Amino acid sequence: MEIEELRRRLASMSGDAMAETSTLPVPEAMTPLFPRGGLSRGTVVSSVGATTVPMAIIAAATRSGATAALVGLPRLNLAAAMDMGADLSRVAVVTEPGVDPFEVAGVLLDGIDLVVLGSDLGHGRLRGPVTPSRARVLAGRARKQSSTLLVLDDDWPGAAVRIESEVTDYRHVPARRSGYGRIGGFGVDVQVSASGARPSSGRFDLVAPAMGEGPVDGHGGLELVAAAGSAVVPSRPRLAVAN
Amino acid sequence: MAVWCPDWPAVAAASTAGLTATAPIAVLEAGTVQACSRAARATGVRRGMRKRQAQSLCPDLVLSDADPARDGRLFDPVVTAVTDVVPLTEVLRPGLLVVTADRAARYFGGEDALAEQIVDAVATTGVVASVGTADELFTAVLAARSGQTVPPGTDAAYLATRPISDLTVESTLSGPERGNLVDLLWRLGLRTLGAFAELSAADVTSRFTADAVTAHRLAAGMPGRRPSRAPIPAALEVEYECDPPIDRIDAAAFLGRRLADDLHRRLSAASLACTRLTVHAITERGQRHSRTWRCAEPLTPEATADRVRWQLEGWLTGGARGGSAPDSPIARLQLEPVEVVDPGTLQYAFVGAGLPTAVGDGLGDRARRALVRVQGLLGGEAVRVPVRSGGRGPAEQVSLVALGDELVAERDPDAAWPDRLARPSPALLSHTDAEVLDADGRLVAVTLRGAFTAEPTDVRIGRSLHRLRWWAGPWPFGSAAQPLAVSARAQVLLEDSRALLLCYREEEWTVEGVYE
Repeated sequence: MEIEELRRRLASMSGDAMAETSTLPVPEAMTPLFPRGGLSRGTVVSSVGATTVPMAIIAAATRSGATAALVGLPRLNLAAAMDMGADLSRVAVVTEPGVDPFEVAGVLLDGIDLVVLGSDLGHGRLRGPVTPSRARVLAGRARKQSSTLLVLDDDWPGAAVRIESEVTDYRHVPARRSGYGRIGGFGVDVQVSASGARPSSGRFDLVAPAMGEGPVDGHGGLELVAAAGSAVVPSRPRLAVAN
Repeated sequence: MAVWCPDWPAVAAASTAGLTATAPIAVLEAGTVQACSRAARATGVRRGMRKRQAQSLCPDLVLSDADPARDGRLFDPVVTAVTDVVPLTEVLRPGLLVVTADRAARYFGGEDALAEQIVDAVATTGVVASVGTADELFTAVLAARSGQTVPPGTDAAYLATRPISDLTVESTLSGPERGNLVDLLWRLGLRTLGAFAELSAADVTSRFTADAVTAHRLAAGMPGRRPSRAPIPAALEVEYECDPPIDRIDAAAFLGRRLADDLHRRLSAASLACTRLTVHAITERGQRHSRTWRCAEPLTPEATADRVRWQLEGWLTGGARGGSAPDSPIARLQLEPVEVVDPGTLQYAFVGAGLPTAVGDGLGDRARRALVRVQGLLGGEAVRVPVRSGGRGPAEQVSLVALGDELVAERDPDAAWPDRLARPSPALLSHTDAEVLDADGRLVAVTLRGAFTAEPTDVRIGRSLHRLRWWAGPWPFGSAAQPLAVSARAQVLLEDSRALLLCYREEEWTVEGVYE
């Protein structure tokens, strides 16, 4: 597309390295699910279900150099994002967006690559559903600034991509026996339905390497990998923990 | 010309404690003697000694903790006394100031006459001072310790016979690693400054750190590297009209912090660093109180704020000790950078501290602008950035700092956190109260030995009761706040297949996190 080309040229002139790519990266194992191998810039994406999936997306995006802002998500545990390799220096948090979180999200779309919008207003109050007109305004703003709006736990009207995820089973190390061991990870089913494309789904595992201890280095070591026998991508050997 | 007040921390401590300077007193910092009075030294107490050792040598030794603010506050009258004689003084640290003596010496009829004038002026404040005169600042500081005058042009000869350990005498003129350097030179057989100065500069540069090169220049009596004097744009001055006028120390301290931040924002916008700063305070009736501070390293915002505070505290409490106090509350404050350097000309060593830390972070300008606009909408505290922090629980491992504040973690992330929760960390945090029940419906608690009182079978959250498919724990963890109370974490898997992290504190269970 010509517009893409122009946008890329503009971006390379302004020296903004991130804007040259037209998608935000998602965790490597999940790329086959998305029509363009990532979240397209300038679109609205909604995610429902397990929090780990948007968390992994935030981690993958910030690690590649994109900036992220979390609006109205006081319950999101950034330590978990850090373990998945998120670069916290590219994250900003607005835990209490006040009475009009959509306004705040709109302002942030002007300058932040990935704006994640939750439904908490702080002090235990939740925001109401968005009106279609407000949703259109925000979508337009995202398109104009080629930034991405990721909405959590909300059926957003006119979202280009919907991610639905669900925790399937928990993995216990060393084995499931009451009173012993601990949770070592879990599996998630993820279904991505984009407008004008067939929904695709996959099964992933969140695995903690070794015993889940030890120092966190640059890459936190936790990642979503495709589950064994998953239809999307051939599975990779996983380290089984021997105790 | 350097004016040195011996054992200043000890003198300041003595005068706060209401003792005379002849009493044996020692100032402790981190358990070792930082300074001691002459009487204490006569009994054998030395700098760097352990507290217990010093006390065994001198049983009636008065001990006091180090307090830089006290030292600065009490030094202020001394500086005032010297400025009455020579208007241009520079304070290196509380207890040591330097004066450019050339013109004043001509006025008073010679350096000795000037030195006498200064010693007399300081003596009126009840403080003993000695004055040293030399070409170079370092030599003058050394000479001041014995009250000598080094004739012009003989700095190098004077320094040649001095012991090598003199390099560490003055902490403001040496880097943090200077002690190790002196130790090394001593082991290399260099016993005097002269022997060190005879080494060729090229050899010193290629074998030692940047601090050693500085030390080598000092030892050779070479002219100190003058900071390049960049012309000062007038817009750098920070002025503040105090409304209401301040007459309280805490208000002054708070204001100093604000002004210092303001000044440093302007300096960094002009990409300059400040090495000499004059602080003017002007009262409602127009009385003016000015002081110039000098630093070897460029002033940081914290150092600036400290100096403003010392000066104002010293002035505001001056009346109580017979000094000059302001005649009315302070109405205006001015911070005027007297000497700024281009930070590009400052040579930072490749090793150790002093490397300029990156100021910017991962948020680019565009992102910052958007975030600042949100701050305008919701207030400054609304936008926060996460910093990796230390902690045991999931919520403690990241602390949030308001955008624009210094990124300081609440707890040291690199310390050992032995009872840290193993990964994976729960993705959702929560603070919901819960009850853990056993098969008979009784509440389950955690014993002092870190075990459940009974096997848990159900968890009640709010009104609904969930049966457990699996549980593990409890894992006790310590807390500094209540070392004797039992706190523990446990993981449970509910029948509807959500795994939770539970936390037991003060005999109450809460749901702390959700694995999803």
